[in-house]
Amino acid sequence: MSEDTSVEAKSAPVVTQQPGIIRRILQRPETSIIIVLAVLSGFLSQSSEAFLTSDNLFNILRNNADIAIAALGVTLVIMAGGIDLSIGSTMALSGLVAAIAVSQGGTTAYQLPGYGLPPAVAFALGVLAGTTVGLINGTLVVRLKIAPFIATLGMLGVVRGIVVGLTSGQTVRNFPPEFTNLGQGYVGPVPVPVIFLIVLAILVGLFLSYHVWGTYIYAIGGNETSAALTGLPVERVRILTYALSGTLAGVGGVLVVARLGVSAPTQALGYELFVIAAAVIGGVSLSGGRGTVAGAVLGAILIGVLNNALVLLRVESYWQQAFTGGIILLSALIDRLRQRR
Amino acid sequence: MDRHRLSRRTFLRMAAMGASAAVLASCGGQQPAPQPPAATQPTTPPAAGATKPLTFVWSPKAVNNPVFDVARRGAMDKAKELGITVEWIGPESADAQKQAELLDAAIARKVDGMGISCNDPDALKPVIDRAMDSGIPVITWDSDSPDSKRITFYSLDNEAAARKGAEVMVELLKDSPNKTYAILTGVPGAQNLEARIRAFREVADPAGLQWVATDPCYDDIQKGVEVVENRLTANPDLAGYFMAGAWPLFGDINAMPKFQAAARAGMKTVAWDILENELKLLKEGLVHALIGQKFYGWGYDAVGILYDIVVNKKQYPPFVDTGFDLVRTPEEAEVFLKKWETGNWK
Repeated sequence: MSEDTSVEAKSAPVVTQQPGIIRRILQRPETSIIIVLAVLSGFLSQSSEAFLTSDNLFNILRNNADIAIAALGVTLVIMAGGIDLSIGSTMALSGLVAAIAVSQGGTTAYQLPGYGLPPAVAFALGVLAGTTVGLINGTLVVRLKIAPFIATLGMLGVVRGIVVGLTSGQTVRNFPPEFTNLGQGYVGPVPVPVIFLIVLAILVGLFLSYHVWGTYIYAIGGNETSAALTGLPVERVRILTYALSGTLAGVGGVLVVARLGVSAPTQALGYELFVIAAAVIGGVSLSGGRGTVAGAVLGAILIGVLNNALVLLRVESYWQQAFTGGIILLSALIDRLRQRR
Repeated sequence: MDRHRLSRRTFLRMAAMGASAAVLASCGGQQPAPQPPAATQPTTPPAAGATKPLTFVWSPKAVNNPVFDVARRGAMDKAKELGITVEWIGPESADAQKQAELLDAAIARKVDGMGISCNDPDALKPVIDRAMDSGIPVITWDSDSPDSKRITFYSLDNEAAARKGAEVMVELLKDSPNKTYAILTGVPGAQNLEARIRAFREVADPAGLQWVATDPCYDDIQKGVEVVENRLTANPDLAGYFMAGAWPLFGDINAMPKFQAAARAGMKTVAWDILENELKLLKEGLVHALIGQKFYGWGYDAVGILYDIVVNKKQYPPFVDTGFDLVRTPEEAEVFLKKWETGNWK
């Protein structure tokens, strides 16, 4: 199968013939999305002088850093042959836990009181709430043998329900500047969430390339039965992917709350679709075993560029979803054509 | 290549820390929410000789929206005054099909009346008609299903309020050489939002304002922030902004540096709703007019209307206009901020 290219490349000990550089580039899972991004960016820079400015490009990255960070996690899950539909709800729960922990108290009769904990502690608690959801997902799928789609769909509902139940539909706000700086601040010209994204992408990339469990993920996703027969710790690796997915969704969720200065029960509602789309259009195979960190990040950036393009090009609001869906389909089509070569 | 094994200790540490986060989350849930003050004067006294307490079902479009929580408190206050039971039943997020399912279950239980904020006029029509056919009186509030058999619709007149907002915008920009403005909406096609946009433009455009674009944010705060910042990237010299909902204004204004800079440079914003954060922005001079819906009345007044219909057999016209609040000055904003602070909306 063409989707298993990476597995085959990794597992084949003897390579008899080195492919040419063009063919090697075309074999990269990120190639299709780079082509789409390049064409779209070229068109946008011709159509609007506002597009190709550092200010606008950093804005796109900052606005979509949470989706990109969560996409890193779901990439691991999908590569290991699973799926995580609870990401949006996990982002909301993590954001809410951090918000309650750090908030200096409600300012209306309706808002939840806060605990006023230090921002670093609140950040850690929020992320760990995500890890908890991920571990539960992993346990349901791996130990209790519930199909990943159903287990994480169930958790999507349970976790969102907890968020709505805890807040009674109200928002949590009133954060100290040290916390909001995590989402709103800059290091030089670079927004802090983008720094988080870069660091986490490097860490996940190193994990996949250099950590033995990272390489196990490719093997398990490529052929779980073979991986188990060769003695790989299949169950523990799969649970780890869900835990990491929850953790990274948690980081994204907390950063969004820090940026918006508010935790709302509607936060990241439906974002699992954006996150999974980012991973898949970045070259992650839904059948497992294939994908890269760079692809997932580029997928999220494509979604951000599309959102930016809709406004810059003044696409009629009624047509925007069709435009976005069309570009995503085009990216998938190029990927399919590339794999056939 | 150097390869390492992930240690079991690291894994267990992650699990333990995750569990502590869950504990914190549940602690948050145990915090008692401040209660609104006890009701004082019932607008409609209980009918003499009632044999059993009435049960009304009150259904918002979604239970995850702060404005509906104010409506819920209004409904509960009125229920207490009237000595009836009001059940607050709605989908977790705006979902017409889920709302219809929940209401079908209420019909099966033969409740005494229903008040519905419809997620979709057509999707809710069959369930409203089924309720009416089975003898359960139904009124709609906030969002209507005009072709259904519902008795009355309790809401502000979206078009009248939007026209007023446009008049304010025209006045705010009368001395500005730049007349460009953009519109932010939620979900394209939503009836109430389309009515607001249509009415706003019917006044603003003939008066010389230049519409630039209408951008949707799909009722998402984060998306709203992104769209506004993108719009101000494309049109940094925008003179006015009409927000048909409050989405991006829910958050910290620092999340929108371009909006903040534009507002400080003179851009005028007219926005729907009178949420706490919007009122504070108006006091800071970053937002210039707010159109307030009667959130509390969606519960308090509308429960009274249904009670009048069921018990006192009172007749109501197909549309009951709640009116709206136009907030333009810091003093007016302070009045509503006090309501948010105390929870007393009467």
